[in-house]
Amino acid sequence: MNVPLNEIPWGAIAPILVLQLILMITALVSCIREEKTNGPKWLWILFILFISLIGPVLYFVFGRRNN
Amino acid sequence: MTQWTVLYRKEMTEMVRNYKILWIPIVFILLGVMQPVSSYYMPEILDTFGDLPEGTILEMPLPTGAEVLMQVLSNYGMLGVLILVLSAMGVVSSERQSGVAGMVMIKPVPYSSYILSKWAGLLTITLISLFIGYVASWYYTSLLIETVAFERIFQSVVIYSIWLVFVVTLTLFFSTIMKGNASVAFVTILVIFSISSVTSILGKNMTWSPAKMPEHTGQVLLSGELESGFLLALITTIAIIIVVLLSSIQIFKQKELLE
Repeated sequence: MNVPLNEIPWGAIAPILVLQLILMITALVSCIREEKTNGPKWLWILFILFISLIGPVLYFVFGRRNN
Repeated sequence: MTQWTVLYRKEMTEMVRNYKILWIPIVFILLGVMQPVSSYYMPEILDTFGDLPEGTILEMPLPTGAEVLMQVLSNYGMLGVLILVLSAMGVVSSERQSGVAGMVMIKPVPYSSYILSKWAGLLTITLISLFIGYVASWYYTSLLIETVAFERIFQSVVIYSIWLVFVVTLTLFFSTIMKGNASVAFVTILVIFSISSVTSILGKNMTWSPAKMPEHTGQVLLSGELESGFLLALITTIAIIIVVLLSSIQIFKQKELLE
């Protein structure tokens, strides 16, 4: 990407990044505190960390055991 | 009534505990906000990542505010519905499997209170997510593209919320009559998808269909006026919601609580 940093419209982008960060941290906290997840835990952590938005959502929908 | 309140409060604490009260609204906000941002910056995005040959001139009309918001609602109609159904699929079925429903129903709790508290919990999370997400999207649209009158936003979100209530009520119904979570989600999405596609194919003959609600929403956003068929669609949608709720209660009464 060759856009200079100061030309990125931070006012519009920052809230989106912050929300994604909150989503990621919540998913991470939930995943670590969970005793057992559906499927290996370390894989979910990688999912949550590296696939933004979709990773945490997938974890919340499929990773948690419903009880 | 007090029993209902207790059950409803249990429902809400559960949503706090499994973070639903946090992540579903955030996802709705992100879905709503990304649409105006990406339509505003589309030329730059294409410029940077599109790998177009030097000197290509792209004429892209900026969509109007109402069009962007219609796009947002259609995203809610796809991804939002998917997320709502998937997060609500176990609402009764998994409680029955884990025995929690049995433990609740041992006490003299009316079956209707149990189902209605579940329903109210689902409505709370759905409406909160829709309203917050939509208002965020409206804010971004008026910031980046153009201001859309707040009345239209309000009217359209109220009409759209009826459609989402319909979707969530169906999820609750299938969660009551079926066992597995996955099959609940599958059947609900299949039913919603069929209603929508049959309605869009036979549009003229199905003015009463609940799936007309999203269409009416778009109409209100664009012109500020309701089409003539709206009242009919509204009445059938509400009637179906009530019938589905009542039959969920009846079926729940007759089911074995422990499977």
